[in-house]
Amino acid sequence: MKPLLTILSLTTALGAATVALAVTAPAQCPGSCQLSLSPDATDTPLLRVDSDDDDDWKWFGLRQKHGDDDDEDEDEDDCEDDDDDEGCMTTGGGNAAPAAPSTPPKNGLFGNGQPPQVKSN
Amino acid sequence: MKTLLAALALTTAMTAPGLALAKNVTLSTTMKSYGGDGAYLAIYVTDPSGAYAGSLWMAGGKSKYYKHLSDWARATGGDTAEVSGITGASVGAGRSLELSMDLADALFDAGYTLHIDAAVEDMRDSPNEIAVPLTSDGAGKAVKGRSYIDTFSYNF
Repeated sequence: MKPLLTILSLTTALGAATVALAVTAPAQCPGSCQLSLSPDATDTPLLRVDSDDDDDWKWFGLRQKHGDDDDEDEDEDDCEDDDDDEGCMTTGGGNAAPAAPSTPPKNGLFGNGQPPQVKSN
Repeated sequence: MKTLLAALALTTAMTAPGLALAKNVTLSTTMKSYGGDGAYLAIYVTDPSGAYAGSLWMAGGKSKYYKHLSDWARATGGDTAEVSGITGASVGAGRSLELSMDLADALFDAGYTLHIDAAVEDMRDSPNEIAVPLTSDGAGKAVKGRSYIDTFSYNF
């Protein structure tokens, strides 16, 4: 009986010590650190994960939006691509950039082979 | 000396007719305030039989949207070579587009028709929104569009 009680008290003491070691002060853990089950203070504590990643939802929203349109839009570039001067389809206000001087197609419609002069407001 | 003069006269005679076979034409398009993004416009010509003859201008730079200019796309198979060198920016709502170009005299008073297909992102496509015969009498007369174009006219 006595050995049994001794063992029980020993395990109880060990358990209490483990809990005491594992509880980390909030100030020592950045962000939303909570109780860690690991007795080793160097282990990564549990973190509250924020699933509301705005970028992902925004991208998904764009995909969904474009998914409601013609199906070929699903394969198109991100509308926020800044490489093109017209964004998605347009720049929204009617980009007044004139066409670069170039030879028009030889379709017999143009008299002098010169490209049209464009003026837009 | 006489030989030189003869040669000059000959070359002048050969050149002059070419200069007289085209006229400077101004195409003026005014958009309605339709409350949407800039419009893509395909301006093209059909011959007296109604067959596609060629393009005059493409307003809108992204070829992936040319399919929304459906009559033009059907006639050309979406071939961007048809608008190589004659492509510019899309035209915003309430804005205007003025194009000046030398067009062959043969297009006028010969049964040719100028067409404009229009399309706006997230709005209904408007094929053949403008269809005007190219005639001397038609110069300076504004025609009204159906959806996105307020008026269109051509002048010499």
